[in-house]
Amino acid sequence: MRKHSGHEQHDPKRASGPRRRFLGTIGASALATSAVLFGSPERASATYNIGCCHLSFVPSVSYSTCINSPRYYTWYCSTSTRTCGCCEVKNSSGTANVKSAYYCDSSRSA
Amino acid sequence: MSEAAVLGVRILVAALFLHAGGAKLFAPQQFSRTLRATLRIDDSHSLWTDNSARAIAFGEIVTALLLVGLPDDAYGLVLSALLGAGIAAFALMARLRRVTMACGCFGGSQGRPLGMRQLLFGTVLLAVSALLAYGQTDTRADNAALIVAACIGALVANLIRWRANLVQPLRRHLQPFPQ
Amino acid sequence: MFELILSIALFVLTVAVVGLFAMMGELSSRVPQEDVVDVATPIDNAALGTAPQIWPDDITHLATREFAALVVLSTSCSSCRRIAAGATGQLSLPPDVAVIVPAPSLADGQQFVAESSVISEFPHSIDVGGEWLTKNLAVDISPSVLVFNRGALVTAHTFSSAAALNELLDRPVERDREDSHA
Repeated sequence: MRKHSGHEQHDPKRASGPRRRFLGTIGASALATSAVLFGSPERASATYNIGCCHLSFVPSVSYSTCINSPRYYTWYCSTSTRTCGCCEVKNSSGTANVKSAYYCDSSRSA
Repeated sequence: MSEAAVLGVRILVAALFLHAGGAKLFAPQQFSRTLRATLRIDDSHSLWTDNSARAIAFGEIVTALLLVGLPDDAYGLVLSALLGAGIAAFALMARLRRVTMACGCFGGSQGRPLGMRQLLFGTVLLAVSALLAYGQTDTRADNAALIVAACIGALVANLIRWRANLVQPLRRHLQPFPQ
Repeated sequence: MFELILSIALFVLTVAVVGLFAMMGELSSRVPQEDVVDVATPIDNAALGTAPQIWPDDITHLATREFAALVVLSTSCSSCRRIAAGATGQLSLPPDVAVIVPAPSLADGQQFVAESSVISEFPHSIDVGGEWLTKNLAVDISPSVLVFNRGALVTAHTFSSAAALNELLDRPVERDREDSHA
């Protein structure tokens, strides 16, 4: 199955310098492509567990900012020890989450 | 097809198989569950499907090694075409039988349900393998360097995949101050 | 030749590292972040005694039952996800139990149901924005369970694990009495 046609003028040992650079480039592009390939589906479904909340993003705004934004979704969660408020800021049309927030309270009353 | 493109795609596909195979070899349970649900195998045969999942994982690793270790030969391409066809057929079957579990194709139990993505992935893999076999040239590539490139690709993919878990111990220092 | 041997060694190490990460990831998804104690606590603000006029599709049959329980598992709640994945134990629920999933959007809710091996076993409905639960029953917390008698809310509790839920639904009448005495 191994072919030996053509390229007879090349000596692979002599050509090792440029070849290595070439392979280095391929390696770098493979890295970049695999980053995109593996990174994007994860990012689309990226979620973040904190307190007992399961948020769409790493919390980047305070809970009060979230519940004062024009469109948001909030829900409380409870564990045996505490209650947390989980909040997602939504975009202006309300179709997608754009930021997340949470707070936790050790008392049981939410 | 240019030599660079052929080698680049081989490295990419090898990194993908290396990542999927390595993870599935050590954490095959979810994929095994999906196998049972799709092929309608009773749960009492879980050992059998676990070992099938491991065998598929081993096949993926061998394919990865052949793709980059023997860049002038078509062995790896034949195997990757077979795997692509298998993935597409499996995804189609799961879809027809309304299996809604996470695939576990990349090991572990997280991930989206089996569906169109896998079907598309399998088909693309089959097409890419055929294309590579068609455009095969005598590359005289440095196979050691190709293997290293595929390993680096798989390791970087691994870090990206688990980044949330890796950052988790630090997260209390990164969270915004609660109000 | 030496380079090839080194590269094969790296290849084997890569398989090992990728596999090790997958194993750790699998384990970490099973370990609860804090110790789960099986407790159930009444929800203070719930509108007990209220009978919702309209019920969500797929679970309308609960409105007429003498005893019916509605388990609330939200997409925004990691403890709900663990329960829905069966990670806190097996749910053994009586008949006439349904699951309602408050979610920011229908798609989020559907994905949550699809990923859960537990929810699809029961009649279930997605409550977009949690509107039905908050407006009709003043319930905005999960994991929780609401018990109805002929469509009227009798008790509302949060629970921490599958075992706590099983116990709560195992003897709803006794618990009703305990709550009314308290």
